[in-house]
Amino acid sequence: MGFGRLHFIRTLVRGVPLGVAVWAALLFALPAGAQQGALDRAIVRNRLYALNDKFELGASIGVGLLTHLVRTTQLQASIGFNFTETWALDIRAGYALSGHTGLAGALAEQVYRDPAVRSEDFSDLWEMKLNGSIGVRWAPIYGKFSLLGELPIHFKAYVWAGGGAARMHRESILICTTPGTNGCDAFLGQNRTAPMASVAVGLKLFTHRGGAIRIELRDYSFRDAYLVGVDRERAKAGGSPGTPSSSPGWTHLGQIDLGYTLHF
Amino acid sequence: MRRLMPALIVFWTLMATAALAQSEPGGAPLEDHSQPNVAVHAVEKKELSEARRHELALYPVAVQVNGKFTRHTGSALSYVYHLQERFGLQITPIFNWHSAPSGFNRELETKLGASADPANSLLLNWGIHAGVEATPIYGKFTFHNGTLGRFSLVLSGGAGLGHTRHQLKSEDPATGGATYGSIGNKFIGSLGGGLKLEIARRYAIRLEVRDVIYTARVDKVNGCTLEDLNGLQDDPTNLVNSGSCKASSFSGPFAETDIAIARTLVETPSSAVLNNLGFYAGFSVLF
Repeated sequence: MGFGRLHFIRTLVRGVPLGVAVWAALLFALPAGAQQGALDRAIVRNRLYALNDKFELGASIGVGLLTHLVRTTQLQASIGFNFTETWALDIRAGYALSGHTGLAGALAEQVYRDPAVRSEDFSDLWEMKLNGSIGVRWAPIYGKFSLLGELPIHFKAYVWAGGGAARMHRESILICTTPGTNGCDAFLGQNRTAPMASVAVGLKLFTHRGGAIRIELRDYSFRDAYLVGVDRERAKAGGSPGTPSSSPGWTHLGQIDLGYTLHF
Repeated sequence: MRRLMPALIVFWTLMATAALAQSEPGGAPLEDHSQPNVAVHAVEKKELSEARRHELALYPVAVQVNGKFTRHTGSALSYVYHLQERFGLQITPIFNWHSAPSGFNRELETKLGASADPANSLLLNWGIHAGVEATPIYGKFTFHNGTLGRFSLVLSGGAGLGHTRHQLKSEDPATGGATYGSIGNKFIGSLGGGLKLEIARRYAIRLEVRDVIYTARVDKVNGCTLEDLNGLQDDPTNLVNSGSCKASSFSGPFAETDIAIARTLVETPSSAVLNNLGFYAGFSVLF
């Protein structure tokens, strides 16, 4: 066994308990006095950008991720108040410009021309429109990094959780209600207002004391609803197209948000 | 990755904007009593230099996050030799211990009788790629004004080889598990980015997103061409290997079904460039 391998194994054996301990400390947020690292704690503890007792006003644009059948681009505004350095309450309002993807359109056309019996409509077809939510933001991490070795950037990392309601629209890709001469003129459309939950993780990159760029990964989840026992011919004739599924599951709408927040 | 490029450009533009807006010529002063919050320069020298050191990273979980037609979950190992403080050479083998069509693909099949092109639903069994790793950004953070941590932004890129397969018979409670046919080895490329969070002098947690890009062309299954498969379909009991065609791979109780599905897959050869975007979570040791 060469020296390199021996050195590696010694390093591994010596360091594992320390690594586990430090990681556990990070997870459970031990007080500052519990750790005597090589870094000077004051470096980051003295925050250049403090948000305590400050209001926030923000605007952002969100783009849907994992767009299978529905695409979403959302315009959002938010107002919030920072009760402490780490805890804040946000109220958000948004309007999503949403619709079917090209894949959904192609499938709808293909299925319409296929005479085979299809008894169950597709899931995850609800498009979010106007929506509002309220939630709590927890930002325990404050840090800074150096861009290209010279420019310091201060940031805060946070998680967000809350709930609200959204106006939604759904257009079936299976059930045609108005047949046309060269295809289906109109598929079954439904509207509803539904409760939703939302969670997010994000970063605020401070540009100055009064504002920050915000980058966020957000998930909206709401109860799905679609029809089973579908009779396409009956739907074309104006009859009942089917019955609601008893276990439709949940729809998750993931999006990446990019925005700017003013602090005052 | 093409979809992500505008987002990456916007991200770097925003980073630069934030940096320029915050910039203080020459960095923050060492002592400025009028602004106690900038008492020390933003980023100090690293405690342990990485130059000319080795790093071994294990990612127990690497899960696909953009699975429209496929779903992959695996584990990966990465070895990095740091040529300089911020630049190294890396080699990464990955093994996907779970690779199957996605729930969306199955829903397409069961509800609409449709499915993705064979090339779009190609599964990556394993891969190995080598390339470079750079850590252009180094920073530190505090958790709840207590624990201090340091992190680096890690960017990586490389090229290599991967083995692909395609599902033949679907999983069915009546007939048992799914069966798969080998589509062969393909060239792969890899681009990645993420965070390396130092938890001790030599140890770090790595959270990365890596895009494994591979070209997919489905014109053979288990090495068998359409002509081979036509012959096997005529006489499914005569599973004799010939040339590149490994006919014996179709053995089993569903050989006939598998051959028929394989024939359908290659009947109209399809091709695509696939992006397997995965979230890799692991830890590394520097030695």
